Amino acid sequence: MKNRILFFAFCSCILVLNSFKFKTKPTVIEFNVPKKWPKPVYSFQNNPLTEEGFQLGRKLFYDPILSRDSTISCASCHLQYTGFTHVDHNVSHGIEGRKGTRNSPVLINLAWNSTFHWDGGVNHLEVQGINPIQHPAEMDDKLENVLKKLNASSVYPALFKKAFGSDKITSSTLMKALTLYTVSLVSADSKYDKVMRKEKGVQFSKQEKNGLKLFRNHCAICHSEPLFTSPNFASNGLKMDSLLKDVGRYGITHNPSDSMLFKIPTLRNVEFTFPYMHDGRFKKLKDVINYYSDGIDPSVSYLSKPLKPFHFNDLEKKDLLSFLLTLTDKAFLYNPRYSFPK
Amino acid sequence: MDKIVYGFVFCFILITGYGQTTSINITFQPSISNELIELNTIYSLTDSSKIEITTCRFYVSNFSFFSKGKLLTQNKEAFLIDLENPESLSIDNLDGYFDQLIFNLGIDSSTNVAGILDGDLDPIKGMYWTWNSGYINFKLDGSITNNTGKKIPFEYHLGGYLPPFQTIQTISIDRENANPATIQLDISQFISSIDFEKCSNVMIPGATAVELSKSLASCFKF
Repeated sequence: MKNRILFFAFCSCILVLNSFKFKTKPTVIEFNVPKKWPKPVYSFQNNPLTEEGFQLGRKLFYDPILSRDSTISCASCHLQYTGFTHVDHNVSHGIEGRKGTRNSPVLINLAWNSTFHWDGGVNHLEVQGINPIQHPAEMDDKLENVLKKLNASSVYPALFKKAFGSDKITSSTLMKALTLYTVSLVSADSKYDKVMRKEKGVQFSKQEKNGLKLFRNHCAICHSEPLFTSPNFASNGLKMDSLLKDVGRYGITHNPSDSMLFKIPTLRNVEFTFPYMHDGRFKKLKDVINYYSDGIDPSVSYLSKPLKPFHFNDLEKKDLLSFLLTLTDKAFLYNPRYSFPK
Repeated sequence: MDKIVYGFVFCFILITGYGQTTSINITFQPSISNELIELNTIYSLTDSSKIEITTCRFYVSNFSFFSKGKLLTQNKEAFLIDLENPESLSIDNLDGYFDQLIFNLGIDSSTNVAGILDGDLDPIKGMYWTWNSGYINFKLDGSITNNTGKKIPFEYHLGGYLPPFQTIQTISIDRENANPATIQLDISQFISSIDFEKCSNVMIPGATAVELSKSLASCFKF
């Protein structure tokens, strides 16, 4: 009899433990693809989107623990209010004020990106984050050391357990957590989007409409809607900075025809993502438009076809600028879900 | 009750016994002129130059076992063989007897674009390029002192999966049935084919990496 009681007690313990285990399963959330947008490149197959994973990635993104001297976080160079890039710096700087060689890219709609970095050298979102962590001019730490710090922390092991089922933090779970946050940074609620969705009461002004027409005729071949980018590499004829000596895509492929080609950046939220170009040489959007209008040197051998100076008149420049401003998505830039976790 | 327990024990013995008869351990033995390589040790080469290896680390993957031309079994895993870690030199419990083995030296392209991976493929193993995503298939570091006494340090980090510079090599070797199976990797031929004055560092994908990878692949023998 006593044995039987013990046996039942044991069984109910197991039942209770199991139900507890069931309860702590992370909450799967849906990744919303905006209507009429292409299928995301990131598949989530080996890294399902969960609330716990997203929140953990968000916490890590804002935590300077990822840098060697705990002074900078991902957010230091990728600020939400400016489209997750580093404004006012032509090239970004890391710990101890060290300077890199490139303008920090925006983190917008990364789920649709097939390559990362200005030269496209990184082939998967999950492995992208290792670069800033280890780059001497950025966070200058070692992945193994970051894992050591995280495993020794008083908060992270429990959070990883909630998100990934194990409190042992590995390269894989760390990078997957960061990915779940960055892949969720979707901007699809600008005035442009609202007009395209035919939302009530939202219309382009005459100027914006003209700007859209100009944009479609001249710019959309590379900055294609709805993502305002394309997965190719191109040169707009910018000459090499004599100090930075950046050869772009060639540095990855060593194919001479890739020399001086760079990734085509998205123009979403372009109003706030200054300075512009891979080396941040243009401070204002006006400078960029002026460059495309009259600054391109058509004799540059690596200039991508069919690009040539557009020779916009002053009115056209204003129209184009006013259209570009419709790509600003305040709901994205100020989305509390993306901001510093309190 | 006792009968049931004995029954279980018997089944257990059967299962484990069965496992032992079909599993095989494959051991890699990197060597120079038939001498097993020990790291940070100086070896004399036939032309009286001296060589020292400080790192010898490589990936092997996608094992296919054949018997009389028929595929017996496959194992798609990737294993990191590292001279610094003697345990890694031997891959345990691959299934099957075989007279021919086909495997890859290096990591295939689909694994190279699969995102973050665990175990032997964890980037912290030091065999992953982060800025130009992809695995380093073979790392051979050391120095050579030629017969005039000049010491040349070398670092060969061979990798790259994008066409036209794919460095992965398929190796097919024949073997007589014997357990354990030991694969020799005598790098003498590889070393003698290199002009160290001209090419002592390879750290990026490209034509040189492909050429050196082919040369290394031809050094694997049972």
